[in-house]
Amino acid sequence: MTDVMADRPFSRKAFLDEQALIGARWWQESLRLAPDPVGRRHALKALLLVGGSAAAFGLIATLSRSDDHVDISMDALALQRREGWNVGQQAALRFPLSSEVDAAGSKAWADGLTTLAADMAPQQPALAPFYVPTLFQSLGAPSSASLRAAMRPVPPVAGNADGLRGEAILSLFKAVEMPTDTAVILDLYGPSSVAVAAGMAAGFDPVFTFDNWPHPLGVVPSHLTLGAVLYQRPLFLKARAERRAPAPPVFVLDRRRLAHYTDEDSQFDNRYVAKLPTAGNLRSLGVRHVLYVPPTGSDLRELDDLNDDFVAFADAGLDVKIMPLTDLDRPSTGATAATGGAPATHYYGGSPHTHLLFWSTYGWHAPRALPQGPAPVRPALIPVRPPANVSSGAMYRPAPRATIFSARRTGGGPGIGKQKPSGFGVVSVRTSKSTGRISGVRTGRTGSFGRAGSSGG
Amino acid sequence: MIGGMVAQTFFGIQVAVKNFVSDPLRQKLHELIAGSGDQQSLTEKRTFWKRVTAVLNEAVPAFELGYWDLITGDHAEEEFESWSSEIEGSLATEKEELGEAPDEISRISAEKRYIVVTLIFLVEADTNSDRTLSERCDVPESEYWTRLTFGRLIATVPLLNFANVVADAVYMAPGSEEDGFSLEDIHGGGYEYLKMLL
Repeated sequence: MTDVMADRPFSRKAFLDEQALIGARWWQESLRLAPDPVGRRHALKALLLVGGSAAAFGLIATLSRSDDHVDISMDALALQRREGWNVGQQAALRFPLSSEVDAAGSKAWADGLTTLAADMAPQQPALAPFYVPTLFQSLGAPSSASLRAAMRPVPPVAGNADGLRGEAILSLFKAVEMPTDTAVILDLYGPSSVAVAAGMAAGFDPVFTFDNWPHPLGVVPSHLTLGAVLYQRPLFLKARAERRAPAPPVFVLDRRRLAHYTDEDSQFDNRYVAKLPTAGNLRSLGVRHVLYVPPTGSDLRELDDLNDDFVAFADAGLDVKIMPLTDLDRPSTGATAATGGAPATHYYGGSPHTHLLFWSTYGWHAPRALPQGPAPVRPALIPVRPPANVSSGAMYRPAPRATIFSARRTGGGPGIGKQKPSGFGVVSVRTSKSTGRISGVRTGRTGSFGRAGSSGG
Repeated sequence: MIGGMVAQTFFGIQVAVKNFVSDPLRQKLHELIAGSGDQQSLTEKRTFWKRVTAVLNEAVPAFELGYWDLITGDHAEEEFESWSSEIEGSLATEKEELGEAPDEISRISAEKRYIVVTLIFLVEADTNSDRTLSERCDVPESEYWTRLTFGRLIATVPLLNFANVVADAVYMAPGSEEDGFSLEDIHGGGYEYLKMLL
């Protein structure tokens, strides 16, 4: 754009660099010069007519030019739904690791692209309200042909340690007969969360909560998460068909949802906040214990957007504790050799002897069955002390702390209805005051408003 | 009336920071303010404030005294003008008091180590930015004057949608990197309204 006033609306009216005082003062001229509120309302009304609810756009326009155009900050997801998944940016998605086939060794994953949102829904109707299919819906949008063409299955990293750790969680719960009063929240990097959930899926009902769309410049690389789900899709479908109900829920989160966002011109802000059931919802589901699973022992507290939720859980009498994924490990080298090269089973504390100590450490249930493996020690004979090589996550208790997400609610309680902070998950767009048509989106390294539009079709 | 028929909200925050000679706070703020553009886009504006507030947030433990205010309605713009004109107007007085050269005693005095930083904003009412400020300023009275609250309020600034920001300003006094206020200067030099932060 060549209009200086529109691109740089703030003019410095005072600049002081003296021994007594340093300072600067700016005014945004377009707002200072008596903007036309009728035009503003007209612009928003036009947006309503063209693009749906004004609430979806989140922010209000500013009149920065004297012509027909107005610059607004717009909810990133609303913009993508309206203009296409790759709005304003034609670059290709990057897949550091991808596969031609899915976990079943088949290319049938391509047939499931448009049905993924339905395929990945929870098995149990009671969990359906907490399923967030947004990411999967991106593939089914009519304008997403180019996204469907670009997608690739994303396999787990070599060794599938994440999947094996998921199986370790499953074996822990099997040892106490899959209690439905204990929910698991996986808050790992997207593909890792998906791989762990796949390892658990034979006994847990996965509830995915990925609430954004991929974008070539997305600060959240959600296309990798989407690719991981496509890879694991056969396992999820098989588990869903064979799983006995009721099954405990596992809420699957991508901790990159709060990724660090620095440069509006080189990143598309597709961040979002987690949506979890409220404490009341969980209690109505019969949940009394919540196991939060972050990546490592250095992550022994919840991410910022979950703090209010977890404090509310605790206030409602739900017991929330943490088990980092790295508390599940394979046995040391000597024991591994005995497996004959088969994938090494992972255990809580890294040994079959310590595996079931999880339950005495967390105090929620008492195992009735012994774990499979070489000569496990009877849990009842072991002092109630955690293994030496696990975290102190069992000691965790939610505590309120100030975050940018604190006390931001659109409704009366936490969870569904949580509001994003101002400037979070939004992008700048230029639109016509009279028609509401979007003419530019600020993404890419040009530093100006590029043309809007997707390569979809 | 500047801003015409659009209602506005004023937000201002001022802190006295204990600054040690080796602290980079003053130098960093000086560089940021001196390097600010005379024309700024929304992106540049947000980037500028992200950097300023990042520097200030590192200094939250050194916040000693402070004051903040949120004013909505007819007097918002008047309040913005009042803060900016009083601070900018103080420059002439300070010049007379300081003379052209920095006070040699002040330079070496261990007590002259406070700087006063002020951030002020005028935003359009009933906008997302206005709501953000209202929400973040909605703290219990018992927490008005705590470092935590001040840190949180300063951290609010980069969250604003600057499309709705009518005017903004940042000031740091004294400007000389060798000079500073003593506590006596602050208590008796027109800053009596500053509250001790807990």
